Amino acid sequence: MSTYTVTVYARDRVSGKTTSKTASFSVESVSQSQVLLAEALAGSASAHMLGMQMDSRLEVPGYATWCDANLGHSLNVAGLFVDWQTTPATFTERFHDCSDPNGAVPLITWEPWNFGDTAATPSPPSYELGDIASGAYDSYVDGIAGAFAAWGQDVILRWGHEMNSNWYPWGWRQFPSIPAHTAAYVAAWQHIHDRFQAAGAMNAKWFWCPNTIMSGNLLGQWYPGDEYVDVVGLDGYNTQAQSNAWRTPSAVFSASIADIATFTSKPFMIGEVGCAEYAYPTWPTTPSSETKSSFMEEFIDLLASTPDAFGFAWSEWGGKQIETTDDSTQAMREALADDWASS
Amino acid sequence: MSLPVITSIIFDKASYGPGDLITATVNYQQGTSDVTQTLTGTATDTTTGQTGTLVVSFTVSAKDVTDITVSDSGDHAWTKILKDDSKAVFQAVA
Repeated sequence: MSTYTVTVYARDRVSGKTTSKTASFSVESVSQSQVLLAEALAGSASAHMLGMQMDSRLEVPGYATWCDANLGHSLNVAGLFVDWQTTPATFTERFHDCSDPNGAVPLITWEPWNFGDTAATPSPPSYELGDIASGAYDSYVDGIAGAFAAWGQDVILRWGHEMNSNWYPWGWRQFPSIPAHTAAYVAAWQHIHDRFQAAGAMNAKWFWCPNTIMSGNLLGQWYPGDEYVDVVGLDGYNTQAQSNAWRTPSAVFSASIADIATFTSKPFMIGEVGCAEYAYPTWPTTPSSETKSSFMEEFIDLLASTPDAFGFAWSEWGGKQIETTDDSTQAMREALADDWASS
Repeated sequence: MSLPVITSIIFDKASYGPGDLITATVNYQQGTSDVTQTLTGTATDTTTGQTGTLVVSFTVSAKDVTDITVSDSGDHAWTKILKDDSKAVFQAVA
């Protein structure tokens, strides 16, 4: 919040004498990252946001500092995960956790299960999509919407991500068919979205984020519609370090990006991405020249050439982090400088 | 005479978001100037044609024209959208 002092002058034309009085007003502070998101959502092609998905809220301050010092780019999006037991007060704490260190936009992945549930059990899942859509959890949803509305600043809300997978309870595994699942998923999404709208939580920016195409199931089946979505994107990884199945960024993402482009032109970001350290064509002998560094360079190239793409959130866990080696850190720094500066 | 007096500055909101329109209403009292006027009375004797003159001075308190301007510590551009004898309204973008 910035406070300004206003001075009003009253000047008598005859005598030339002047009197004055002061008062003050305040203008809410908005971080550069919030400005970038607003520009991206408005269609700007020059808003390029760097994000990270983190294991712990405690990591945010360190990564915010580290990005400035080592990547030459601010951490614009800070990603944290919450579940269906997370209270409104904890949501608010997570907003602070993400934005307080340097003004990063919170990217909250809201998962409709209890952390600790396994994907297949309990079966049926703790929270049925049909129950969510029919309003069984409205009091809970309304409470969370209230926390968003009270926060006021934009938050990227990723509800029920990777819904096209079979490893989460809100994925298609629990359903007799994919059409049955997509109908339930879309209905739940739209219902929660509408509750947020009714609560005045327009600052929730709805991020629809499937995994990359799995088993040939095209992504549009799970799409709730442009009127229910602010940002679209994908999760995808190159984790095949111990085989010759090294996957380039294009191999991971391009087909899915092209699929999404067939049904929407909403602003696009990668919700999760990560990469193993090396390709091992003949595991476990010496790695090939394909490394995390080359993946990063190609990834940023791909993103920069993708229409409507404005951001990504790199997954900082499981050995797939940006900073596992000096080379990978340097590669990301150079790629960002070359193709991902914000203007 | 009296100087103009700014009696209040009122904003339309307690705080603003970036890009919001700020409206400030300034209430004031105009200043006055004491203007000395001279009244001359003349009596003429119609027979002799002689005259007698009395000069009297008196003071009139006149309202002055007051210019109202605004500036602020953030160098916002203020536009005056209304002014009358007791009120001026200014707007700026936060």
